[in-house]
Amino acid sequence: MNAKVTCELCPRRCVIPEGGAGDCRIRVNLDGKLRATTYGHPSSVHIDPVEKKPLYHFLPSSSAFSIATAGCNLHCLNCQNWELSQRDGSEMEQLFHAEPADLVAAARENDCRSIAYTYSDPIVFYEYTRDTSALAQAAGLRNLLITAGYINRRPLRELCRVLDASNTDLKAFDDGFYQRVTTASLRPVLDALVTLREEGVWLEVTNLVIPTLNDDLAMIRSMAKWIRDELGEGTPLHFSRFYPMYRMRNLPPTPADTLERARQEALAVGLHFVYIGNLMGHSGSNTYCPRDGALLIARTGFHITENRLTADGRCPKCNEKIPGVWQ
Amino acid sequence: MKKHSPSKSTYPGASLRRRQLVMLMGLTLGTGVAWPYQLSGRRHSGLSLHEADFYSPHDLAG
Amino acid sequence: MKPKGLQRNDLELLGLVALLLLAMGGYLVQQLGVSRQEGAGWRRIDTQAVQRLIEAGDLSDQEALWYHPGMGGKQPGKSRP
Repeated sequence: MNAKVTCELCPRRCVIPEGGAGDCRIRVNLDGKLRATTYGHPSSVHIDPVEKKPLYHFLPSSSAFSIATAGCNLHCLNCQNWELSQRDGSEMEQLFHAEPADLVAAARENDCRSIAYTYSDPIVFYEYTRDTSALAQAAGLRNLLITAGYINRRPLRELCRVLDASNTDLKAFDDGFYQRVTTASLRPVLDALVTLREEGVWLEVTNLVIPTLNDDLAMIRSMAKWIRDELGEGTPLHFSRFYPMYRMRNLPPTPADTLERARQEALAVGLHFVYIGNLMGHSGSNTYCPRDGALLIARTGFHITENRLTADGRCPKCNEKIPGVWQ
Repeated sequence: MKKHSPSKSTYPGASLRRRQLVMLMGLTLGTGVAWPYQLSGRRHSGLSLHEADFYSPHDLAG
Repeated sequence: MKPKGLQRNDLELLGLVALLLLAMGGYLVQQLGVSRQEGAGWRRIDTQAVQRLIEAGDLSDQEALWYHPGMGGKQPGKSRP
């Protein structure tokens, strides 16, 4: 008897026969039950500066204990972590054994203030993320969800109870791009962004700008307007530089002036904090006061070289409250 | 003078063809042996976190 | 003097090359067939390898959340709290 199951975690709603896996490769139907096969078995474990997530308005200069398992429910042609994300657990060369409590202990031993669920997509290792986050929260650690946001609303709302911050990709403001480049769709991602905001999770958004595919300024302007209207003008937006990767090696890296124009468009629409990422040494990685333009935080790469914010997250000149989680 | 007929082992290029054949057979056999090995991978599983290199480079944001 | 026509060792060489091409082509066609079977979002994986790793303790059989037995259904729900 072939006992099929239907997974309701993400909008794909995979109907999985016995012995098969969901589109993400790691949620497997064994004997009529769906198994989260990478639970407790991350393949990637690193300590990163929180700015690398990128989170610029959340516990600056702190370290994030960053983990991921195999699998992903997107299949982006330009994935920089494809050797992790486009594989199932049996294909991984490296499998750690780390129960949620082990992750929390390791994060504390290494003076990390947060645990980041990242690299592939924590949506697909949902149970591991949720259980670890609950323990981490009890231990005084923060939980960071670094995701493409392709998840159904109810599981996301539940997960938000144990989350503190998220960087969610908004890959393009165009469903066609999502279909062609990632095999996903736009609407659920927009819903996820709104849900994270409603649930009070600190939210920053990343848009990877890919030449000829999603660098149209009109689309970027529309996206920035949507973020301003639905998420708030204080929501940090990161325009990240694309590098040829995986199945998208035919395009050049994003030119610096494309990123600068994107940033100017977003600032002109009224967003207060717009950054340029993966472009070393650019002033677009600094934080400026939206009221008087004063330099607040200077960054080189993922490192903060100067932090002038007051202890309670205000501009030292005009006392403007800068949104974020600063302590 | 006796006409010297070319034979398999002596005509020009014969030894070259044999070498080509041997090389191709070696390549085929080698692929046949190496392929399953590559597929199965050299797995390092059941690693404890203490064996992790937390600071190995991971350059781009994400 | 060069021999005319195909020699036996030439035929052997060609035969080996043809065999190799046939094997490669057969594998590729088989993979295409696998891709066609996978629809409705699911994927075929090496389930036996996954089960071996679960038995060895290198992967997990932790029951997932957010699924239900059977096909389809409009309302997402948890199978267990």
